[in-house]
Amino acid sequence: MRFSSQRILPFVLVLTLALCMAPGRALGVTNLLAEIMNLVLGPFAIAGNMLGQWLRPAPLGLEGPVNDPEYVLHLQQERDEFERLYVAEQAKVDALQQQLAQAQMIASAQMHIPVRPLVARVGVRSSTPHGTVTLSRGSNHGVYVGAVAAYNAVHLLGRVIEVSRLQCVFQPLANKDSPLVDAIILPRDQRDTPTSRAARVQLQPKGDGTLRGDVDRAAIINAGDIVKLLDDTWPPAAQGMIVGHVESVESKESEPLRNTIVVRPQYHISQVAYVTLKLEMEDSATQPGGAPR
Amino acid sequence: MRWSVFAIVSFIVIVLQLSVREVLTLHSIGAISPDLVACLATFIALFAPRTTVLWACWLLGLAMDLAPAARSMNWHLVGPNALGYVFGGYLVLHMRAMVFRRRMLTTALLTFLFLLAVAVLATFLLTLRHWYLPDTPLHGSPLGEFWLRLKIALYSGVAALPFGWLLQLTVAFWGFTGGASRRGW
Repeated sequence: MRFSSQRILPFVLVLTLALCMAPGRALGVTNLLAEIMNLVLGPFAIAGNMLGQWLRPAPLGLEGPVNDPEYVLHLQQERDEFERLYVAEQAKVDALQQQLAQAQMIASAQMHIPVRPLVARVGVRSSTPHGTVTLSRGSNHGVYVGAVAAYNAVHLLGRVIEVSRLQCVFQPLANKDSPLVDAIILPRDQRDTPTSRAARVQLQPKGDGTLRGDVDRAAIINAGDIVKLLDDTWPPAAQGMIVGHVESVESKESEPLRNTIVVRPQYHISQVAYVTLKLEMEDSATQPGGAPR
Repeated sequence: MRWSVFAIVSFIVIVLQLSVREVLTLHSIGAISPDLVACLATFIALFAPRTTVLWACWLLGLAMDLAPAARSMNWHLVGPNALGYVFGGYLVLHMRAMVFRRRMLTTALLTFLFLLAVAVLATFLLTLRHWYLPDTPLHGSPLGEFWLRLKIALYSGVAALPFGWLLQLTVAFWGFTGGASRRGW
């Protein structure tokens, strides 16, 4: 008998260890054992509690679980948790309102290209300034490589360069690795200037948040003029979106007939928590700059 | 060891542990109560044969695991006490040859060491489980859990002086073999 109990003990201990490490849903059987134990001990424990109350009565006004520090601690923890949830929910409501505003702005914009706005949260940011950024939407949400990201409906921020199922990598317009961008410059007080008459410029990101390009010195360009994208390598939905404003016009010493303009986007990805991805609908998809899948 | 005596005494001590211990609770230092069941386990570990000790400790630890938890959960975590008591019993088994078993101070000291061993193993198991299952009932942090158990161990060691003495009075009924030296401090 003793021999067999010696042999059983290691198995029992291993089983106990397995139960100890098992998740809560696998420990349902313990409820039955506990219930049986409570059933047996219950009447005697009640008597014991009465004896305990008699030996050491609870202070007046503090009877019941309020007198139990563990219970009070539990309540305090619950209160703290609810406060945390309240703050988190408030932040969520604010974020949703912000997203809604962004989506409404896109919907109200005059767009000839049917697009589906998709609000994406900015996730992991690159450690370098104006580096790539991970957005919280991926191919499962219809995002595709080349999809453009906007802020306040018409401000172009950049485009998607990589897509996974649940997220995508976004390259800001001002990223140094971004390709050259063709754009037109519209005088700030004559925004209705036909594109055929507007000065054209090829902008190159410099990595400091600005884009630079050379323009004909004869073109009248001033600081504050609006620069809009007009580039065949970008999707139709991006055409005409604002790249930024002319920050300065500098004369180019090596080429006396040309000026260098510095364009600064109004919004940088580092300033925003959300962007709106403009996803072109299937029937309007064209190949330049990527197409929906 | 007579298992019938073990069953009766264990039943009484567990009832005391789960109900009357409130009388001995020290609210000013974290509402700690002495672990009378550990005193009993230590007492058994001092006199009973090796396998009997380990089984008895496992049963007593299991009972403690199945006792109502401090936190509301729809399951009972079996193991920290069951395994911890076995570990503690094993420790006492190794130490009992070096001590005067029927001294009150021996019971007190070994109860403290028994619960210290339980604290180490139980905290380790709870921490390990908490690492991948956050619903594990850990007292704040691993350090918090260990600190709480350490305080209980100290208090139980003190409580084991009178309680151990009471148990020593019953030693004749248990049917232990050996350990027949005289009682004393």
